[in-house]
Amino acid sequence: MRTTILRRIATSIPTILISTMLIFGLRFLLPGGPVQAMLGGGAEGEITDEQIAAMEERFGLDAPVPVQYWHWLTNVVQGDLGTSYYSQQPVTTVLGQRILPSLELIVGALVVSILVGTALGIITAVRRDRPTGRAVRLATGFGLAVPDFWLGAVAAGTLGLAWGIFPAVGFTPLSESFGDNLYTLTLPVLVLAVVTASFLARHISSAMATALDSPYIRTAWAMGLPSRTIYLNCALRNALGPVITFIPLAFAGLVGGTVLVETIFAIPGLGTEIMRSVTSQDYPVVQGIVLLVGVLVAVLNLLADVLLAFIDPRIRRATA
Amino acid sequence: MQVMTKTRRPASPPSDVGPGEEVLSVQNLKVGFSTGRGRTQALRGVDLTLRTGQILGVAGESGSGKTTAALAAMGLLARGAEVGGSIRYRGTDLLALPEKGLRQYRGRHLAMIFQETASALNPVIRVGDQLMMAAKAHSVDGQTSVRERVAAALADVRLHDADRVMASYPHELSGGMCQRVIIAMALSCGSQVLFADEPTTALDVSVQQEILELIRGLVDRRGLAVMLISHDLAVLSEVCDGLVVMYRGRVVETGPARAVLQAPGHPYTQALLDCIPTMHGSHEDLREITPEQRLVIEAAGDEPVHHTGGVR
Repeated sequence: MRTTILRRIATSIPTILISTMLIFGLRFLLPGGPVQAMLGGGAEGEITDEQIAAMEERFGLDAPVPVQYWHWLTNVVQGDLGTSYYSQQPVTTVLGQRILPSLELIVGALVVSILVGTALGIITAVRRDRPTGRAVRLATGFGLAVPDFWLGAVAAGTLGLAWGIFPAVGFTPLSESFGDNLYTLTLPVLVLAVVTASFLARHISSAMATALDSPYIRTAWAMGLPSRTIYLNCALRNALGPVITFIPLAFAGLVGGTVLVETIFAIPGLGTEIMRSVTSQDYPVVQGIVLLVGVLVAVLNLLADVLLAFIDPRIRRATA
Repeated sequence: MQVMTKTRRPASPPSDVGPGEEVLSVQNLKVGFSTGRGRTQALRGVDLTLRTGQILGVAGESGSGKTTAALAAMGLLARGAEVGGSIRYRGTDLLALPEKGLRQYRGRHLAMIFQETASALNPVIRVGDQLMMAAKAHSVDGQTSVRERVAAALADVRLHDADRVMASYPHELSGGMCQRVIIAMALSCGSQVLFADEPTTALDVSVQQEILELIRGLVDRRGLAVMLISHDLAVLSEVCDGLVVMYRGRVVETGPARAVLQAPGHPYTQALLDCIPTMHGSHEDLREITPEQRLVIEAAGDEPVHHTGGVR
């Protein structure tokens, strides 16, 4: 088990390194380059070539690209993600103010999706040729097909505006009031969770169906094990693999989802910050967010693999 | 539920159950499946009797209904199967029981093992935990501890390194060991009747022999009643007391194994016997059932059952 974990950590280092290179490289795709962005664009001729050269020298942008990358990387490792062109604050400060609402949204949606999705997936698999299974399957199909911006707008319009059950827009930070925080986040979390839960339900259901058709489940029936044990202990244990692999993917998908949901519900999180920084070409912030999400996904992948090895002895043996 | 108390522990065969007593009797069993393309009649009125301390061999090609008969007795047929006739276990008609009631019998009285060996055990649970899980599902207060029962069952199937086996995962054991573990599972649950569906087909020839001898030994020592299903008459001829030959959902021949093998009454049995390679034959003798034989079998198929040897 320990060798499995160490080995997996070792293999995730190159992944993270390569993603930092890609993130750094994206800077050169920015139209007009970083200096143009920093100087705020401006009409042609307003900024002289000397000004640009002076800026490039000041920020070390005249150095060879590998040297620039090295400087950037060493700063990143020390926790310095640069300074926002827009607010002139350190990127870490900007992200620090924004990360909590988004994390609440994402983790909330993940927890809801895992609970609801697993339950629905099990029902679909266990009752697959009965009306309940078919109905749940239809519902998760609907959940998969519905675009979240539409769902968000409809939810805000009905549950929020028309019926007034939840606030349609606005956000109360956790630091102010836990209850209000939960209240303002409920609707966005549910909207975010619909697609992920449906996806997860489909994953679990097909993995459960495969497990339920396998010889070891037939043996379990033939030995007279109670159906609850067969479904929840014997079959589900084998169906957990795809679910665990799915979680890092779901996380990455939810980050994309927060952009929409935070915009619809006016939540000051990373999603709205991504929108702002991209449209205003605030490149250090974009870089910081992409790096943060990339590292989080890599770490989640690592945890998922370790968890998989923990659950399935065959994986443990194959990677040891 | 009086039957259950009577047949609870198999550690030593209950004294009131002498060898040869009828434990399971299948009468006029009919099973049909409705599929998208119409209805298939898998069993067309099958009669079978399992006795304590005896192995009943059931032979026949794929699709003849051997497995369906055993699954019907276990109540493990696919949903939507239409079952008729009766299956009596010590007087109780299993077909009349609801699923919940039938579950009381599975494992505790009747168990079934299959062709798959390693994949018939859960790949992510330690063998010992699986054994304990099954034994615990059938434990009753005042009985010997679950652990003791499992240990005794493992000794019964001649798995002596019990601690190591129990700490292993199925993929760490050989096919023969897995099959032994599954048999031990059935024993520790208390099963008196064992349906063994091609239990040795996936195994090496030498291991095959060991498993067959093991089953024979358990039948003799514990008074188990076994239904041994195989397409291979050579396997059945080694260990069976009685023999039933099935063809297209019917029993076409039945009788003591020796009598059936020596003087088959039905052309299908003869055709099956012709398929067994012998020491003296050349490789040209190895063949499948010929089209000409098929015609004869078809013609004889609807005739009454041949009771070869006269004993029934």
